Amino acid sequence: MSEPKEEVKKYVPKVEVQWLGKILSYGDEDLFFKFNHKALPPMVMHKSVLPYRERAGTSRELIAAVASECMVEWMLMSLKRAKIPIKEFSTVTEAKMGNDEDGRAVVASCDTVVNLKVPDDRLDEARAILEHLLEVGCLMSRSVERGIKFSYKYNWLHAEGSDS
Amino acid sequence: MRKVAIPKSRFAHIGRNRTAHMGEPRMAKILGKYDFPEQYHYSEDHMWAKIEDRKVRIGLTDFGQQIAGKILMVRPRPLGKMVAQGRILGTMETGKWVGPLRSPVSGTIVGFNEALRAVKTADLVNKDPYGAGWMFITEPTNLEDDLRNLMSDSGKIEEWLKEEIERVEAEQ
Repeated sequence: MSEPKEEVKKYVPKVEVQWLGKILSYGDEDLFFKFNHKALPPMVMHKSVLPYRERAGTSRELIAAVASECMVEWMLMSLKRAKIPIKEFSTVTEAKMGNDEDGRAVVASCDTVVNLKVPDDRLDEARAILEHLLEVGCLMSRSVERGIKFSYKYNWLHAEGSDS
Repeated sequence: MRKVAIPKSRFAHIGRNRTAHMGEPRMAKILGKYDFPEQYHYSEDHMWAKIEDRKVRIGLTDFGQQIAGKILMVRPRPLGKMVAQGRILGTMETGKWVGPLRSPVSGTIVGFNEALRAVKTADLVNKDPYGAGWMFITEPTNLEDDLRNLMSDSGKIEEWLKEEIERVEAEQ
């Protein structure tokens, strides 16, 4: 008798965000993020501990993280598969602001600097791989440059004690 | 005995024996599933070399394309560049990684299969690795010595391929 097959759930990227403003010890701008990926632990964005003037910029930080993480993963996977020993690897990504045609603020560019150290005799190989990767981009850079359609819809939750 | 876990290429069944530029070579089927045509020379980097007049045509082996999966793009180093045996001729892109293509022989790159630059046609490497999916042409500079480092005997290829399959399995 064959063993029952384990059902493999199809992974769906999904992030839940919860406002923590009602919870004691949190403030009115604090958020809880729950990711649908085992490699991403929950995250609390604790803005309320900061003065108001220092609270802006978290979304820009997150898009910079997206811009670097996707490409970094692809770089590491490619270098590893080519058996190129990595001595050091780090990146710094800066999200730069600009304005759209109407003058509203937008993230105009994400600029990443990659710091990589490999043995000298593998430098040519690593350079060729990185040049290819940077030419074609990664899933995220391609998607953002092409334009991701964002849509939002909302549900009115019935407020306790309200008349309606 | 453990089952060999080499991912089966979606294109493995297509394009067998199509080698339009050089007639029909005799195919040696290694381990019952990987084509290694006779009169070609093979490197341990999964590349083949075929001597044509004074030039060498180069490509990825059937086994190489099967473990790589669908090829999305091949990016060559500049024409005219001198490349030593085992060094980089270019890079190839799959859905999950970009990898080096190491030259089986030393020489100057004089030709590249431009169809492999485009995502729509780069899978010629999968469909017809020894024919329309060829990659580079080089003018060799040390052919006699370089050929000593390559395999052309089917028995030797089979022996090496068994070890290679074990290595790939261990990495998965």
